[in-house]
Amino acid sequence: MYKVNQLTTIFLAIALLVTILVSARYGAVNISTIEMISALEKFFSNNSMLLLNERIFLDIRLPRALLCVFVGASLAVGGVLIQGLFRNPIVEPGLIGTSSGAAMGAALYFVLGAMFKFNTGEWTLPIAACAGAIISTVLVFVLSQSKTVGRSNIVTLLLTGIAINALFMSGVGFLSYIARDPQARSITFWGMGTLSGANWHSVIIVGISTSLCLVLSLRFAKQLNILMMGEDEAIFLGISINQLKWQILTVEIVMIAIATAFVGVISFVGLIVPHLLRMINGSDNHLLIRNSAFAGAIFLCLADLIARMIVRPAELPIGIVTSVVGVPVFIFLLRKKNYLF
Amino acid sequence: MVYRFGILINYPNMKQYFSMVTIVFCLAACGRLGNKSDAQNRTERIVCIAKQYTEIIFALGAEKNIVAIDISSTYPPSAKKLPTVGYHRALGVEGILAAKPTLIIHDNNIGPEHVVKQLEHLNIPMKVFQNKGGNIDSTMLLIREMGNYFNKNNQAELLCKKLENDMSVAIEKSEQYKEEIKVLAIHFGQASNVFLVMTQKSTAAKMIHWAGGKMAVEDAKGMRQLSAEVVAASDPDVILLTDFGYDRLGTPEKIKELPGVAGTKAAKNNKIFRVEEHDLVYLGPRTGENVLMLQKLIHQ
Amino acid sequence: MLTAQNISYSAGKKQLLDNLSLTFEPGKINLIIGPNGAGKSTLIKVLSGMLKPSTGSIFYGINEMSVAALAKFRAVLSQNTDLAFPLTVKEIVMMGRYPHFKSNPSLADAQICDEVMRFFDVTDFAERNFLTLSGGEKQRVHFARVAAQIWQQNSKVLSYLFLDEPLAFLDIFYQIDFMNKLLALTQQKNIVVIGVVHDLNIAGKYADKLVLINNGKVLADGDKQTVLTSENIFSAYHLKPEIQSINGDVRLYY
Repeated sequence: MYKVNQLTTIFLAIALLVTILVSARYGAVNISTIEMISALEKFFSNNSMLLLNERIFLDIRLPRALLCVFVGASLAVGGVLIQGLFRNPIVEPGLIGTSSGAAMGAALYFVLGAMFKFNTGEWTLPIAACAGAIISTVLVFVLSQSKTVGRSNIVTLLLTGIAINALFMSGVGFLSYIARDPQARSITFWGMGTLSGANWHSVIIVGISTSLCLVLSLRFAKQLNILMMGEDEAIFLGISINQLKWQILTVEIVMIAIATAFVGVISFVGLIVPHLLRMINGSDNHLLIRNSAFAGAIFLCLADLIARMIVRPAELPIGIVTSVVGVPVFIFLLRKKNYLF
Repeated sequence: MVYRFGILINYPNMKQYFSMVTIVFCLAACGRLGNKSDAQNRTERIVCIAKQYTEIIFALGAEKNIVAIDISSTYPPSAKKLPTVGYHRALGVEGILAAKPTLIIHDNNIGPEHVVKQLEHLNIPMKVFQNKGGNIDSTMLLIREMGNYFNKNNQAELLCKKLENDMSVAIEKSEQYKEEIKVLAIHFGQASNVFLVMTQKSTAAKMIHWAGGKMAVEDAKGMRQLSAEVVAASDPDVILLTDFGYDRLGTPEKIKELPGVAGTKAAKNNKIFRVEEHDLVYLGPRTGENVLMLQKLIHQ
Repeated sequence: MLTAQNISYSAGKKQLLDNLSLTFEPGKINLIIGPNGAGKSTLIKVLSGMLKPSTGSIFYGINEMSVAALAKFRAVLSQNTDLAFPLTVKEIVMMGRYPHFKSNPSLADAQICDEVMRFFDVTDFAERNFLTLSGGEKQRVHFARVAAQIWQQNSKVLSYLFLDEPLAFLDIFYQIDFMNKLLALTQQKNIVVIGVVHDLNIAGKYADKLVLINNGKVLADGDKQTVLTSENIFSAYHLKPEIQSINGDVRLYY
């Protein structure tokens, strides 16, 4: 059973490599393959005599493509985790408050940082985002608990998510408004996301966080499979539910929050990617997590390419592209009969 | 053969499909080898992201190497033929790079911040002129500085002379106007997509002053957001709108629909006028003429 | 052997179980019957370890165990298990083996799954999407899964199988089919089987030991003939069916 499915993973890995190259190649300025190769050669031989296109490739395109990869993987796998936890395909980290909380935390960091000019370490921004994400997600979780059953009814969850998202995003809006420095990030950035600020600093931070969280996520795969049958069955099969819940939520929050801190709120990736992969290879979480990481990376790279090319030389916020693709999928899932509410 | 959702999936076929798609992708990624390289092209390509500079450069006759400008650089009309790189406070790195600049000229008023950083990182030469041109003397120094930079010193001198003369004429003319007209200047902020009012701290306020008027709004910053209270408190005799904002609304009737405008003296007397942004918000070679124009406009 | 001593359980003010003491032996089909609200479901939840009794104790041969260790030889089959996402039948049966491996199933696990699927006659469904099966077929697959969970290689190891109203949503064909498979399982494997059923005729046909619960107390405890008497039936159900003993089975005609 597992052997045949390795095929999909291999295909996705190759496709990802290709997508990164395509993404690095095209834009308002097209970079040829020769330039990309020579740029890499010069980088590894510590040669600093770079042509403009080579510099563009190394300083702008490549970090941007890699950031897409890590953020895309985070969002997709975050979606798998949350869907497994709530046993429903129509949830994703953005809908349960994680992204908006992270945005609030990060916005607070920028505005307060500008006001008080405190010296911040490399990791203060990600930590602020995580703090915000923890608050918002826990709020949604706790507020949507049903008193009788003790677990979240999905409709209540989504509605609570909408409310908390509105709350935190208006907080972000307020912060954008009062930010004295016109250089502070705008509400568009936070609300719809963009990868235009990608640099090696953000790539490294998001890369570390994503890789760690992906490894941890794979460990949850088996338990998430069992959880698909319900919490009672999971207990009968030897899972301690509460421990699992908090572990999964922690990993999801950290992974999504750090990604969101650097690129803003990007919706629907966590919804679309796992759904598509389930159609191809079934719902086994082992495969799903692994393949979602690759597929999410590919998806976001392509979305970023579209965002950069479609109104060239201006750029669309990437959230617009993911929403245009994502909303029909969301509605389709709402109406589907096979899935249970 | 596997059932997924009742659909029979034949794995060998999937394999073929996947490999086909992979091949297509690879071809797209490699593309044609041997792109034309920029290294051979040595002429200077300048991108100017400051409207004041753009006007002065064209006035000096030094516009030969300008290949792109920002969207607010609207004077002279021949400048509008050049491709733009976007709004100076909402730039995109690639938009600037698409113009293949060898030099970027700006006035330290560009954003967003990360784009500036990326440009610096790319080691693209950037030039900011020392003189800020916030008053007539500084403007003349700026013109001379730019004239020196572009080797158009003679033309710079001519421009300064003209400016000096025009300004004395304008100041002289302003003596004839007895009353100080209260002016409300409304501008549309394209970065924030809201209507703004210019305050006494703005450069426009100086022009209005020379034109025999008084900017009706006070504030710590050069602009503040338009609101009914601000308009009412300012009680203007005349309302000016810059071109973009005026054209956006279209007619004086529409303008009167802005918050608080309908109740003003200016609205009641139909003293709502359109002014080109490039005639009002910065100082340059034509400031003298512009002051004269404004005088006539607001004292109608 | 499973022994329960002096079990009581209350939820809020209501006393659901009142001082029950019971013994269940392996190799026998032990069934619990009783009217609605008698406490059958609560009893099986307490026996399976899902609920902790307010008083009394339960002996499985081994006392304090972690949830994970317990899952290796104690399985519970509910009346209706919903599945959030589509999975193949084979994947679901394999989930029964999850307590036995860390990340990937071993060859032994795969063999057990094959064996179990043959036993429960679901091999033809192996690659089918579970959600497309009928109710009866689904329950059969779940039965296979719980059986796989406690399928021991070593016949000396004792397993425990709890069935909480497993026939509730099945038609008569699948009910009989289920009970026949349960019978075969009990005979071939070393298991203590405890189940809750509603249908007294099913109980009368298949039970080796019956426990009749009413109002949280044991009304009768013993073999079919001892428990299914007119007095007991009337006392619990307020009905007077005709009771016949045929070929060792007890049949009730209403």
